[in-house]
Amino acid sequence: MNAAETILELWIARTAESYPRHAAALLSQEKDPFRNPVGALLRQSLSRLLRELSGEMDATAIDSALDPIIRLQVVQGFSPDNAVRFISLLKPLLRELGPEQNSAVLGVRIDDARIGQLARMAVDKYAQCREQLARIRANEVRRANQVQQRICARRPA
Amino acid sequence: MPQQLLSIEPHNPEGDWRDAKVEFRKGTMCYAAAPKNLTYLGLPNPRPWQPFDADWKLPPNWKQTILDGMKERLQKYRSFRLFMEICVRCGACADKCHFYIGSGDPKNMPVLRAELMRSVYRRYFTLTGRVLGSLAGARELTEDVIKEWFYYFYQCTECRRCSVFCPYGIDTAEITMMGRELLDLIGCNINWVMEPAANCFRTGNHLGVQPHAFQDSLQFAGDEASEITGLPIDVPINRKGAEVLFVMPSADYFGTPHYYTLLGYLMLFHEIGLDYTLSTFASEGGNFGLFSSHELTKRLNAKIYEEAKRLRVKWILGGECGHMWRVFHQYMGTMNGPADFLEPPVSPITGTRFENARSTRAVHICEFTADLIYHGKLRLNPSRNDHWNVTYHDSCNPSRAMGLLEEPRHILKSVCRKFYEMPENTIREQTFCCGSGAGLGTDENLEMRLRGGFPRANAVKYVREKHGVNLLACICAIDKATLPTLMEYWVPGVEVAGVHELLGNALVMTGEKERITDLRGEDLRGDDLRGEDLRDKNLRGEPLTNEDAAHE
Repeated sequence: MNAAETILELWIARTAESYPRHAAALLSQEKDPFRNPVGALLRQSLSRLLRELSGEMDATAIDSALDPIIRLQVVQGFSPDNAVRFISLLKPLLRELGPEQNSAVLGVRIDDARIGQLARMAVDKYAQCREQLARIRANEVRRANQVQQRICARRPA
Repeated sequence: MPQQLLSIEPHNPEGDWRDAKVEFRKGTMCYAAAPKNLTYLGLPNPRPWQPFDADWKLPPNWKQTILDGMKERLQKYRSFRLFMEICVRCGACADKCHFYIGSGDPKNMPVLRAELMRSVYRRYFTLTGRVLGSLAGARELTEDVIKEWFYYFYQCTECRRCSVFCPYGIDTAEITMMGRELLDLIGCNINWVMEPAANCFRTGNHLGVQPHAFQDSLQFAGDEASEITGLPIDVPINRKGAEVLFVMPSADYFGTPHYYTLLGYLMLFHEIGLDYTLSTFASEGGNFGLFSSHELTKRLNAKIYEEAKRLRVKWILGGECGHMWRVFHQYMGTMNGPADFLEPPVSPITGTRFENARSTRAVHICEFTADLIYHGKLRLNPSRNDHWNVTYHDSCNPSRAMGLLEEPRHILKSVCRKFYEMPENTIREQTFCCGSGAGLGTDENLEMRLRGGFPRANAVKYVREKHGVNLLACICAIDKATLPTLMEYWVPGVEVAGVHELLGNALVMTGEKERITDLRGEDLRGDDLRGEDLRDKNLRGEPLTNEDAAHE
């Protein structure tokens, strides 16, 4: 395992620790993505985010990597600050590496500005997901009555 | 750095599981039953209250009522007594619950959810528990425990996935059922169960649709099926002397996408000339009594046989529904049978005797249709479903409660050309629940449902990315009501349909006019290419143009 992979594993493990202990073990250890979909989602999202943080910081790529993890935490009852907390967990891990090694290992130095930008995008994503919840709730009600609405629409007044 | 990885210490606080305090938050719980519904059903302690209230207004003797209720059920049900005693905490069930997988809450591990009740059982019904107390895993029954039971027993969809993995065959769903029965005794139940149950008792169906409105809806469906096919499709209601009584969930004639399944049934029955009738009295196959108590299950189910007797039919055919089939297949025969006034079902078209339904006299529509297809009695044009890349969600109750695994697949593979299975450990007996069954499919519980449904959505996402799946077929009314929401949140671009909707699309009917739309009214001709183009765009996540939007 190289140092970049180690950072990723540590980041995943620390993020998993925001769940109760038994769940954290399942999240970080079980490899089958269908037995452990949350763990698989965390791994995929965090690895893509780390790649962007140490690379291009492409907004579209970050958005698609942030989407699943924030989407999940929104329905898991995480408050906005708790939902973006996983991003701040990266800071102490990088500090342990030291600035020079950080650059050497990841290619580009991941500084606070990049992490801050990611956190801001995560907050936006959180708000979008909450708005979507309200929308899909309304759509569900609409579907439940659709036949009656159609019958009424066809019936002469 | 690798050394650091080995030295990770868990930072998360792990409380004592015996601490019963729970937090009720909107979005992750169901509202309490309205008093009018409990009054209508004659159930105890009707009063206005909500789970997030500090005072639940329990009756003064609530504790004795619960303990007496437990004692009575321990004596009456051997399975309950066994399930309280025999668990060895092996953990085989622990990571099998969709709510645990989706939430990480340890009390959603089936073993621990059951332990919430076992701990009380030990305290009051075992010598070691009475003497050693918490050392023997026993807990006092307190108001907090009642609140915890309510929270977690209404966070189990009774899907029985955990029971598939238990080496002792403990059916944790039955423990949830016992928990809900006991809570009923002191008036702690949810409105999404009690209102449909009260409606059903009053009008024959969960939605409270009265006979004339039922007739209206069915007539409307018959007219639409006639418009699509150019054939006069009648819908017989309350017709005495018909061979078959057809019973379906009420959502089929009320909500979408259920309604398209209803069109499929009507077209099929017309094509084969089935001598059948619907009933205004038995206008609901579903039975929300199952999510409350065995007494209420029996009361609501009684109408099925009563109506079959009144209409003098020979046997019963049941539509696409989930828990309806758990009741029909596992309880109806003993609860309200024997149905000795009916005949063992025989298909009038193929002559097949449905030996599996000899006791209940009730045949699942998928068994019936698969048999027709197997014997070559239907002409099918699967290309009419070419706009769908289909996968199949095994609805929990038909798959695990009655073993209905191959019949829906046989139909789907006959009526669609593009069918793809989800991964093996997410289908058939191991299927993941939609997260909304057993009365939990209400909008105030949306966030919890989306947590619980995540494992299912994750498997759908896999086949969407791998095969371009854009349709999730299923045979349960609750699935059809709630999976579209689940897909909208987790896997946008995937729609939901019943198996008989797809059959209706593909069915080539004698004398029909050229089909220009599918059952949803979407164009099947030239515009279809445009439709596929749009769907492909959607799949690739490309933004739609104004022209695209106008087409949609």
